[in-house]
Amino acid sequence: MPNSSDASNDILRIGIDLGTSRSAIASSNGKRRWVHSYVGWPRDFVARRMLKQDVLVGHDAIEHRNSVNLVRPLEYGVIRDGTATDEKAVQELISHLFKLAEPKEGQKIYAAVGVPAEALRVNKLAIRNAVGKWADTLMLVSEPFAVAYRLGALNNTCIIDIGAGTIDFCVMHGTMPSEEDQRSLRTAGDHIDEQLFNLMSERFVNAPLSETFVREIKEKYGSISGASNPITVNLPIAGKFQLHDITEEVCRACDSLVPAIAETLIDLLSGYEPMLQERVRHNIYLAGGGSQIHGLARAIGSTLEEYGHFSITPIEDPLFSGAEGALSLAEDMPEEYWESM
Amino acid sequence: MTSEKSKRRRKAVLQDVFEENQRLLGRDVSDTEKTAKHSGMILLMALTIGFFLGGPEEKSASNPVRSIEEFLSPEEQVRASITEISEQKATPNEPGLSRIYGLSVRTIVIDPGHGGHDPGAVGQAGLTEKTLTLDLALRLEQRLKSQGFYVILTRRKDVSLNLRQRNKISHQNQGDLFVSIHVNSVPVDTLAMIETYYFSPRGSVRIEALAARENVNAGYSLGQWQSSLETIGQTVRIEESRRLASHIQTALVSKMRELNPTLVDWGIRSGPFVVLMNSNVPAILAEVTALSMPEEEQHLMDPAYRNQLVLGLESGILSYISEQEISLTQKID
Repeated sequence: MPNSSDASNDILRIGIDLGTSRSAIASSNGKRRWVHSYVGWPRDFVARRMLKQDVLVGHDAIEHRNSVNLVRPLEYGVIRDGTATDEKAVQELISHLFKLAEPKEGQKIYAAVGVPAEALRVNKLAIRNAVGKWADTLMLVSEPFAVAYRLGALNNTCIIDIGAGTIDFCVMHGTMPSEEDQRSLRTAGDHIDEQLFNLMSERFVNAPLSETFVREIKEKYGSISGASNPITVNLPIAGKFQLHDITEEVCRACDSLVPAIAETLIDLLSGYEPMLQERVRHNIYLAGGGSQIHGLARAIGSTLEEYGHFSITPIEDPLFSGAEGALSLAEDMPEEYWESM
Repeated sequence: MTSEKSKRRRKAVLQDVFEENQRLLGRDVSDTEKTAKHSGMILLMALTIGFFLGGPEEKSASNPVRSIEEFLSPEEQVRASITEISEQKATPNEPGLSRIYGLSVRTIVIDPGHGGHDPGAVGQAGLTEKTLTLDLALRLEQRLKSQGFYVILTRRKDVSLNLRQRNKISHQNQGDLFVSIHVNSVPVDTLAMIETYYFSPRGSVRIEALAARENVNAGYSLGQWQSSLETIGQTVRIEESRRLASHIQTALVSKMRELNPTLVDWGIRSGPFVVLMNSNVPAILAEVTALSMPEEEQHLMDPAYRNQLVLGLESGILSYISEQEISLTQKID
C-alpha cells in the first residue's frame, strides 16, 4: 500500500530503470515516460544555431545524430567507465528523466533505481552518486527483482529481464535474492544488433547501413526462426531503393540469444533442490525490451525440452516493468527506512 | 491467510532491500535499523541531551570498523558459508596445507601496483596510487629485511610493468610469498575501505568482471595462458593464499582502526586475477585503502599514517609465517 504521506504531495516517489538502450521512469504522480539512453551535443555553431539547444537527449539526439556528438553513456546497464563526456552525458540523461516526472517545486524526491543483477559494487556506487544529485533519498534494487516485486511473483518464480546490455536472471524463493539467485549475461539486445549488422553488411555490401537503422529493424520485426511472416525493408543499394526480404538475417540474429538464455537458466536452476526447480520452471517470466522478440518464449521452451516442460510467459508492458517495479518498492518502503538511506 | 503471508513476505523483502542498500554504503545494518525504528525516541533523547548540555550534540567520534559478518543474521551467516563474504572468516587456527607439508618462508616478493605511464587511482589532490604503492613497498621492504627475510620488489622506481613481468620477477627470485599492494578508488567520496584478494579459478560473475578489468594488459599469449591454466589446480597455493589474505586483512584492519575508525572492512575475496594466478607461491592483492575519499587522501600524505599501513601489512605477513613456524616446531617435537 502506498505511503499515506504521498497524499500530502510533499513527496514524489520515482522508479527509474536506467537502461543501456532505453531508460524509463514511473512516478507516484502517475507519470510514465521513457527515453532512448542517448545524449548529444551540437557539433559546431551551425548545428547549435539550427537545433537551438545546447544538449539533446533521447529521441531528439538520435534524430539529429548527424548534427551532434552522440553519446550512449550506459554500457551493460551501468555507467560506462571512462571519460568526462560519459559522466556529463549520464548527468544530462538523469536530469532529463527527473524532469519528465514533473516534480512540483519544493517536493521531496524519493527515488528507487534498478541496476543489473550482478552490477559491481563500484558500479552501484557510481549510479548512487549520479542519481543522488537529483533525489533527496534513494535506493538501488536489482532490476529483475524489481520486476518480480511488481508482478507479485516473489516465490517460486524466475524473471529473465532481456535488456540491450545485459540479460538478468533472478530466481525468487520468498526472500530477497542473493548472488546465488542471480545471473547476468552480456549477450543481450546489443548482441543481436551486432549480428544483424554483420549479416546485412555481408549481403548488402553497398548499402549504407547504420547501427541505428539495424536496431530499428530489430525492434520492429525481431523474430525467432519459424515464427515470423516475411520481413521486407526498402533499402538503397548503390543509391537505388529496392524491397529486400531480410527474414533470414533477422531471425538468425535473434536466434543467437536462445542457447545462451537456455544454458544460463539450466545452470542457475540446477543449484536448487528438486522441488523448487520443479515449481520455478512453471513460473518463468520474460521481461525487458528483448522479451518482445516474436517466438522467443516458445523457442527457449523448445530448446529446454530435453529437461522437461517449462512454462515461459512474456510479461505485459515490458518497457515500463523495471521502472514500475522500482516505483512499487519506493511506494511500499516504510518512511523510516527512507530517512536512513 | 495467503494475503497475510504475502504481506509478511513483502515486508521482509522490503527490509532486505533496505539492509542491502545500507551494506552498499558500508553502514552497520543493525544500528541503522534500530535508528530507523526508534528514530522518534532517539530524536527525543537527543533533544533532551541538547537541552541539558546547552549545545548541539556532536556526532559520535567512534565509528568502529565493522566486518561484513556483523551485518548478517544467523540465517544469512549460514547462507554466506557458500559466498565470498564468508571467506573473511578464514580462521588462522585451521591446519593449513603448507603447515602440513612443512613449507617455510624465506623470500618475500612485494609488488607495488601500477607505475610508469599507469598512475592507477588518482586522488582529488593529485596523489597517485603508483606513488603510494611504491612508498609503502619500500617501507615494507625495510621492515621485513630487519626481520631477516630476503625481500624482492617488482619495481623500485616509477616504471611501467605488465602483470607478466611482475610474475617473472617473482619466479626468477624464487619468492615464497607474493604481496601485491594496491589502493582502491570508488565512485563515492565518503568511503574508504580495506579488502584483500586471493586467487581462485572461479569467482562470482561479479568478481570475475572486476578481475577482467584488473587483468587488462596482462602480457600473456594464449599458449602461455593455457599453460597457466594447467596450474590452477594447485590446491596448496590457493589454500595458503586464502590464509595469507586472511592474516593480512585482519592485521590491516586492526592496525588502521587505531588511527582511523571510519575505514570500512570489506573482507577477503577470491577471484581470477592474473597477477595472482600466475604466481606459483601464496599470493594476495591488498587494496589497503581508497584514494577516492579526500579525507583519506589527506591522511595518506602523512608518513605516520603510511607507516601504520606498513605495520598492518608486516603484522599480517608475520602472523601468517609465525603460524607456520609454530607448526614446524610442533612437527619437530
